[in-house]
Amino acid sequence: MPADKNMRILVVDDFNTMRRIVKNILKQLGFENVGEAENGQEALEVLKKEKFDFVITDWNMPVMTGLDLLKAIKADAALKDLPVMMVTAEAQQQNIVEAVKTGASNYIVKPFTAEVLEEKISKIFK
Amino acid sequence: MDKEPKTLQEILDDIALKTIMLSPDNLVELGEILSKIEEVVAYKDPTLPEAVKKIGGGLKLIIEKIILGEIPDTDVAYEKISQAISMLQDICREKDQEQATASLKNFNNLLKELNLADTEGQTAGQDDIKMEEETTSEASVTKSKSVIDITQDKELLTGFINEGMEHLEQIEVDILSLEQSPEDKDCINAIFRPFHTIKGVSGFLNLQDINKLAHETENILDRARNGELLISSEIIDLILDACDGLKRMIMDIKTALETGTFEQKDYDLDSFISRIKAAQEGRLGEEAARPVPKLVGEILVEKGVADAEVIDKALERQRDSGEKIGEIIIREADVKPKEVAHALREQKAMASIASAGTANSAVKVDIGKLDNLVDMVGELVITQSLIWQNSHVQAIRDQKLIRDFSQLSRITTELQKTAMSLRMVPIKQTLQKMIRLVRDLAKKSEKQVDLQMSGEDTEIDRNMVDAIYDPLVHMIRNSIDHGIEMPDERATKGKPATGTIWLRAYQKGGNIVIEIEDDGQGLNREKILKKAKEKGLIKNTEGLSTFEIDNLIFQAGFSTADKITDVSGRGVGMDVVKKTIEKLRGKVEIDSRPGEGSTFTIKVPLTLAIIDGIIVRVGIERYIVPTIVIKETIRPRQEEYSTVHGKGEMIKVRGNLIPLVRLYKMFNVEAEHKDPCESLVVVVENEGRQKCLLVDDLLGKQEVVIKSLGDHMKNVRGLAGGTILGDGKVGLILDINGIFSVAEEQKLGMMH
Repeated sequence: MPADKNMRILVVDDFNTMRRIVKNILKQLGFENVGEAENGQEALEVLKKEKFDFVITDWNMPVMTGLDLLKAIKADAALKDLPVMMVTAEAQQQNIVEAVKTGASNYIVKPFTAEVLEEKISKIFK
Repeated sequence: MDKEPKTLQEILDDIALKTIMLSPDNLVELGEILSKIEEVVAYKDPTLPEAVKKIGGGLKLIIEKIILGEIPDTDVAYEKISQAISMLQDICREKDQEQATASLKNFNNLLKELNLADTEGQTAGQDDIKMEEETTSEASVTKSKSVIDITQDKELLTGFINEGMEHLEQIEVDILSLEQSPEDKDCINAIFRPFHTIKGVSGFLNLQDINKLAHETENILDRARNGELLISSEIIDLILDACDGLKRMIMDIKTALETGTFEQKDYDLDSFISRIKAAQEGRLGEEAARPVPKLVGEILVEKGVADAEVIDKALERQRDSGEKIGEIIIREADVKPKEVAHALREQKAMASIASAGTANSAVKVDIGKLDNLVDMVGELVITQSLIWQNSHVQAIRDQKLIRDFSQLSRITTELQKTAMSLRMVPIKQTLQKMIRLVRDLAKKSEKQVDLQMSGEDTEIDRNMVDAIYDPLVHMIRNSIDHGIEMPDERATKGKPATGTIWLRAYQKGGNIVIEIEDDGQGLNREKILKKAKEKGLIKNTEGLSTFEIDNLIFQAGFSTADKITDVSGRGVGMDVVKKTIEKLRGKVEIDSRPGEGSTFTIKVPLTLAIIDGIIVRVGIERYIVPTIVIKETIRPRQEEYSTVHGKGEMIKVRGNLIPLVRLYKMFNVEAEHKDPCESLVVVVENEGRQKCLLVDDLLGKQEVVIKSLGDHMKNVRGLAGGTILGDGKVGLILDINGIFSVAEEQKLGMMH
């Protein structure tokens, strides 16, 4: 079953331009139902209020980092099955392994193309 | 992630099951398996063959490589994982050492088939698998080429420009605090993040130069964050330069967007990057800080002005004739005098840097030890004076003892001075930090500002240096933001377009005075009064001197800036400056000349350990009044004493009515005299206001070593501390600021 184009995606990044870039790429792939949050804390609040199907989060953010967000999601009974993809700029390998152990569905290294994102999403929503 | 303890067998069965069910590319399941394998590796059971841990470690390595996308053929890898896990299951069931060893051998073969073993020197035998810093191995993680065309996505670019600049400016603010606490991880992280983000976004926007510079800078900060690199002033400079570089590049894109043509500029990134690399390896200090002075000839050759041969000849001639080399070169070698002069100047500059570096050979000492030393010396001085004042000792008439004793006093006094001076450092470094600040702030506010400094060699207590930094920054910001006008505005006023800030430091008595003077517009008194009334800081404007009006800006909650600007503002007002300075037992004042400029004057004691005071007596108690606050001492006449309705008791001093504070009442002690005309009043000043303190007697002037009163007396208002006087008894040091507020709280209708 390919990923549902209508699924609701939450993009988390502290940099507005970055959120727009990710949104643009998602749009190219046909995902238009996208919400935004500025950091982990904000994302968590949004997730507790509204229903999302997928989270794409940056790693290094003020207030609450992407990894802490991931941990919080996995620790929350209502959210723990929500797939989370980590966006990372550096190929900091130990971090990636750590995130996958924590329960990240996948990760993607900046900068990425629409094709790579599509491939990663299709791996998650099979 | 089950919490209940399981046997190793159960964990392994769990893993085996998960492995069979594992669908390719499912990282979540891989992650779970990895966690479980780590449990296996960490499992404590002495009967277990060592091979279990080794195979487990190897499995970890394989799975990590799969997660990181470093194994091209995952199907094969999955198969090997299954095999390895059944091996583990076997070993755990049989616990047969020989079988285990055989399995380990098999497993190492598996690894070899996967190209994992040996090639990188890694076998499954290693307990902790080091993930090499393979910054270059991003290959498999899909590096993309340009995603967005610069000519196409203007909206995104504009967003990036604005947001990027904002972040870069924030870095400069944060870096000031980093300079204060170079090891503060939060601080480093706050600076790291913008570089990181800019790197990420620029990668998408195909802005390669920006990406590269941000990436390199990020690397340094990352290492600093991990404690591998100490933030030095060179690194701070580097970061600031990187900031400037990025800003310039971003502004160039802005221009490109506006004009519609983008020309690739050469930013000479390579030299910057090699500087960064040098800094990372710690070579920066050696390379940049201490150039060996070169010979004039060398400099000329390097500049390509003269040939090496020519110089050699000139040198030979110099040996014979004794003339100056420069003169010979000009005469013989057809080199322009200007060039030689340049070279000479360069040489001199280098020499002065080099000598500055070598002249102060120094030992780094923990400040706590110094404080302790100063304390102990203080005690020594006191004990010595106790002994001298002992009546038995006083009765001794032996000339030699008296001579020896006065020699001892001389030595202890000298010792005390030396101990004090150990903590003194030139104020230079602090002042020099202001150069960059002024330059940056001026640029940011588009004003032209010149900074003139004097008295950089003035010495100040080490503890004080750090403490006065923030207030200084604030006042300089204030001067640039509110004082200095825009260049065109200055021109219409007939002032030079470039404003000047004078930063002066000098010693006056036991105090260091720092003045920050600007030739800006001065304070707008009407605006201040209006604001002060609005904020309820004053009730009526009558009777306030211009000095008092100007100094209202130091009141809490006061800010005349119409809007919070980028430069000053940010929620910290001048009241914070004042509080900081007063905590240092100093004072700050502003003297403003409308239209001509303002002068901030900070006065702080040379050291926090000693106070220059006048000892006064109230009844049997002795108090120390800091000399810095005392204006004069008088014995009032009957006609000078009066009670003003609503304001309390007053003493007329030189035509001014000054409120009287009866110290004995405030501290609840028995005074000798209650009539002011029979006792003395000490006129003290604080925040531009005066009060008369009623005392019985003046006992003398003395430098006293300040002792804290201890925690339980910390909250007693009006006292700054205690000291041990010459006779061994304790004298209390008055906190004038506290006394003023206690006295004022008893009255109404006054400010504050």
